[in-house]
Amino acid sequence: MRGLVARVGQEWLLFPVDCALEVLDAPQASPLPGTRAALEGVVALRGMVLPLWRTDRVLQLPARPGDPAPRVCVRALVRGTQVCLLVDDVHGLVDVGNDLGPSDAWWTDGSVHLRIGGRPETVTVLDVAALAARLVAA
Amino acid sequence: MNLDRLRALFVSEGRTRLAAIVEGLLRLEQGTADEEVMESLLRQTHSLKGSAAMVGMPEVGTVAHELEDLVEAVRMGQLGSGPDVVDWMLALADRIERLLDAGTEAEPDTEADPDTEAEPDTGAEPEGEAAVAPQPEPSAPTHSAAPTPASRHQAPAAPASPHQAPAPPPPHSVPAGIETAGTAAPEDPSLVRLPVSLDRLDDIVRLAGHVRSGLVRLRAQLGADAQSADARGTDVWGEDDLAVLRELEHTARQLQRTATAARTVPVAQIGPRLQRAVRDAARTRGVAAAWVLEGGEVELDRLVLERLEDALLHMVRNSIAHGLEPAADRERLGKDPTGTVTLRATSRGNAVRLSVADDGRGLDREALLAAARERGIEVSPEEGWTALVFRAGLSTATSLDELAGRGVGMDVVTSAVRQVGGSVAVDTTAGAGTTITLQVPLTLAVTRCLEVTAAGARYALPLVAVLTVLGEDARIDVAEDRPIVMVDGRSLPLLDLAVLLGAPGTPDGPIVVLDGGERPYGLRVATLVGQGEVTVQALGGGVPATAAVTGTSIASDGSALVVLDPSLLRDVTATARAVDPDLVAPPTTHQAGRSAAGRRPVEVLVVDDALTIRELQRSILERAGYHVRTAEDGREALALLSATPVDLVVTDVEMPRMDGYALTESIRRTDAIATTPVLILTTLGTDADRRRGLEAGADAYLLKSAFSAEALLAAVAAQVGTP
Repeated sequence: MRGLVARVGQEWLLFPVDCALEVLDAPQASPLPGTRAALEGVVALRGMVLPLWRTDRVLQLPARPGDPAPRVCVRALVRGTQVCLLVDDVHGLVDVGNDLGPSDAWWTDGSVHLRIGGRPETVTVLDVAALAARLVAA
Repeated sequence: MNLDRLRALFVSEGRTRLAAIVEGLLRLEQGTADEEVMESLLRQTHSLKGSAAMVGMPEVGTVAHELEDLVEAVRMGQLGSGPDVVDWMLALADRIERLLDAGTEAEPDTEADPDTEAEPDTGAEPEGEAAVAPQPEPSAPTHSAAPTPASRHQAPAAPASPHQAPAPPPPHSVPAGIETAGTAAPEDPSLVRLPVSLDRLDDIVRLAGHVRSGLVRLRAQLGADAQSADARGTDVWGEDDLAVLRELEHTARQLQRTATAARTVPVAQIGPRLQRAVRDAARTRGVAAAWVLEGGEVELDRLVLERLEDALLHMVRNSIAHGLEPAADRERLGKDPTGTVTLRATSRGNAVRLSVADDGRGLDREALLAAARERGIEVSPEEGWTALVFRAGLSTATSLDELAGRGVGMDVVTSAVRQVGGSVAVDTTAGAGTTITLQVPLTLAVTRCLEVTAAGARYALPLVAVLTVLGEDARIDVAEDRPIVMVDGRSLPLLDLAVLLGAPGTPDGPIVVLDGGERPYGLRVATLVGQGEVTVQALGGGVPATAAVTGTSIASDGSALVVLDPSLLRDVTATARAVDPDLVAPPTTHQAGRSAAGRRPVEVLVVDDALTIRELQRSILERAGYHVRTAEDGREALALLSATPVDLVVTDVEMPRMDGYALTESIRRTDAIATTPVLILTTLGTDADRRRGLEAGADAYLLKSAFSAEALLAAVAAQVGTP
């Protein structure tokens, strides 16, 4: 399995590679009236107007103390629809291997583990279907 | 072409033919169907029959055949054309419509590859009898009360008609799926119509919009580069380059307008359905009603017209159910025993007005108020009692029938109008009639908008809803702890767009007065950017449906542009206020209660087709003590000047109908105003432009690129002094 590892609050998430399209500095969003806090607004990107979501608020993940507002944007394909997701940090693309060969990360007890900055971290694989449902609910 | 797609085309074509059939039948009933109308009826029913068989909808063919026989019988004098017969024929038309509706339930395969599609034996055949599949047997009419016409199929010796003995296929036959307008010969390519999906037209409009905004950004970039190059003493971009760019921008604008125009249809298209509704309602109610359509040639976005269709049907039915008196009553009142229901369409710039008027009894004020009291509905002093007609669940009908009594219907009107970003107004006079007017945008694809900024982002407000713009001299006050703005003696609620967006308010920004549907209100913004045509994309692509947002677009600077819905923005506010009582614009002490009295009457006429520019200049000049009048173009300015001269004219150059050069020349040629100073304020900045303005007779020439309040006031003072 291959994916983009990004930090959202105190959690590391793995975005499946077919979901993560691009990583970029978050563009300035145009806020929309009457929307919830999870939606920062809309941004113009690649000739499209896309919604810019706060991933931590969508997934209700606690922020890491001292973190500024997230300004890294992952352009993602969620259930056939492009959205922009704000994350705090991006580690990069990783291959999650099995016991058959070397890899960046590995599965143990149903979780993905990898070393980031020399420290072992547990990474949660993003459930894209659940994310899509939360975006609708938000 | 596969069968699904062919069927979809047939359904579209069939509806057009059916509309013509209904129109013809109504004329038949009125006794105004001449030979041409009868020919058209026969041609339309015959074509419908033939095409139906080709696309595998034989039942449509059967009914069309039955209808064709009836028309032929009437034409031959074998059958009368009274209301009962027309009822019969209209019932057949209704049946065809239902069959066509059923035919659209299967999704057409519009994206199929024409090269790989299975090809039924259709496309290569010319239209006409030769191409028609074997006809089904005609069914016997089921209306036992009506006489049975002699079927021409049963009487082959009957005199020939065009549809009985079709001419051989013309040299340039029109293939299936292409229809010709009216009775024009298909040889005329300018009259050939191709069915194109609205999605594809939207794509063209959107792409043209992107080209335009890209060129605008390129020009801005070139301008910046040129300034930078000038500073370095080099010459990178010359006038010729910029001229080419301007030409491209002009072409892109034309492309966008042409593509937008392709979405429009004449209002007359909806006429037959409304006429039919009037006719049926009048028959149900036993009143005599005439139908009048004025301005049927006015064009409107097809989508807008489709969305308003039900609303207009309710309106005309209401005119019959509540408006028109019985013939005997009308005669007693000295009125024509036949009442009139009129649909009047007028074009107003980027908007279209559709009025349904009747000459009946007018709205019953007491009955409406009583019905409102009974249901505990309060009458808003701003909206007035006439707005009650749009309240859901409120009806003055004393009995329930198919036309009235349920209290539903007119609220559909407000809902439909709101959906397309329009407004509705009622005008009624007791004993004389009622007029309900809808004002809607000409098109949903491209909307003229006032662009503003708030909370660091750009927003667009449809110009059709912008009533006026107030500058810093707006009178702000507080009522019930909430800010209000005084406009023409009325106090209107004042909101702050930035606050609605969750940002700090902008207490000194200009105020846009908006038609909020039910009541106008002021909306404070940070700055006015200007007005322009916005290619509106419906919310989608993951952008959540949000109250108060009509759609999105991409601004000329490449940022996202959010198109707001003024009628729903207030709802957002009402909801939000419940949570946050500060969600309104803070009043500023220097503005509250400011009086406009004490200005010296130096009259300035500001002429500009851009509302923003007009209001900006008005704001600056009035603050300095000048009296300002405005005109949208040279022609309006001349009309104003002929009535009342002014001390100074400040005019733009590029305007519709009459530009600033022509206006200046006209002023100089008119004795009464020939000496009036003229100050040209324009974006045209070449030496040739300037020379052209001065040669036309202008006293001063200012560039908008160098515009500032100080520059304007200095130029004005140089001509007419200070107040």
